[in-house]
Amino acid sequence: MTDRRVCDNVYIAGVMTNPPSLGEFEQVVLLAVLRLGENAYGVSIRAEIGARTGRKPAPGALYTALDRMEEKGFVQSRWGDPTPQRGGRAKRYFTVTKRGRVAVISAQRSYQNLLEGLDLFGGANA
Amino acid sequence: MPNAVCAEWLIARFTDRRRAAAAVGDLLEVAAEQGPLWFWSSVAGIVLSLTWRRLVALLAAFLCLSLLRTFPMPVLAPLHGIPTAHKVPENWRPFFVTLDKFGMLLWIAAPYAAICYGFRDKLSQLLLVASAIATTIIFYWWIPAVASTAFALGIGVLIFSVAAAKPRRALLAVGVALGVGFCGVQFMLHLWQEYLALFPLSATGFSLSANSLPLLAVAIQTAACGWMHRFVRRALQRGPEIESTA
Repeated sequence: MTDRRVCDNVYIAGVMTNPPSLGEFEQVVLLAVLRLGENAYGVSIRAEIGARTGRKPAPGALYTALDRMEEKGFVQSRWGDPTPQRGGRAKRYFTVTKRGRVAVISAQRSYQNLLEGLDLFGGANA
Repeated sequence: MPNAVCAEWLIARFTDRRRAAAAVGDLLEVAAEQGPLWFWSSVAGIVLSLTWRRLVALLAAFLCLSLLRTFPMPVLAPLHGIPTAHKVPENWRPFFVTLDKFGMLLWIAAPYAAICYGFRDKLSQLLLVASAIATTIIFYWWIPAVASTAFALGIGVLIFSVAAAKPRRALLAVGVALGVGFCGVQFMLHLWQEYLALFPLSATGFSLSANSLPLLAVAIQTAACGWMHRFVRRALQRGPEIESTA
């Protein structure tokens, strides 16, 4: 195992003991950015969320969430090249940071733990 | 095609220019299918989502300051008919006058930071604790147990903040923000006195301290809080290198 890998695992283990909290919408946005990889920018993130969840977020809500998550260190943004169909405006691409990944994993684990042993599709609660 | 330059200018009033340009670029991509009505409603939505929290925070800061000003401060005891027992001793007056001024600034800064940045933010937490301690001392200095507990709590918070890295940055930010607020308000008052000396306005009945000073104090103090919050954020983001790598 390389030093870098050891360092990453130590970091993740450290953060997992006190994981940063994520709202439901923040989780959705982070997962969409993770799915899109290198091509995650405003339009594609909105489209991905719409395609996967059936609800398209308002642009204002999406940009505010992305800004807030960038401030918290969950995502990083970089600038693309200006394109003519955008009136010469550059795209702002997003990538999920290690801290963001840890936050998503932690939030999803919490859901998994809560779902464990529940029979949602049968029984008295069906 | 919608007037993208106008939309970009509008959004750039509330965020930085590059982010505004990227947002408008995104809207332009989709506006070809959705039409100008969708474009402009989205621009309005972006502006609203960028500003609502700050507007509510500014209003709350102003209301909190106005609320504090309705309570007679013990340092002004002879003026407001406060019981003599609560009157600040003469040799403590300079301390209490200064504390009153900082207390007012804290009552602006604490609600603003709590609404704008949330209760988990270190700057908000420190401002809320500081305003609670300052308020307790200002109004209950004459009860020895309360005053000594508040002083002890204040010293404890100070020691805790200096000892750890994150609270230390927040403490520095609070100190600078309050310093800027204090100096700013004093400077405005000084300018006003100079102005009055040149152009006496007493006949109009206009008083800066009664009419405009609360608004000016809110504007100066909240701006200082905003700058210092950015400083704390940037310092925390720099952090250890491993935290920022993808």
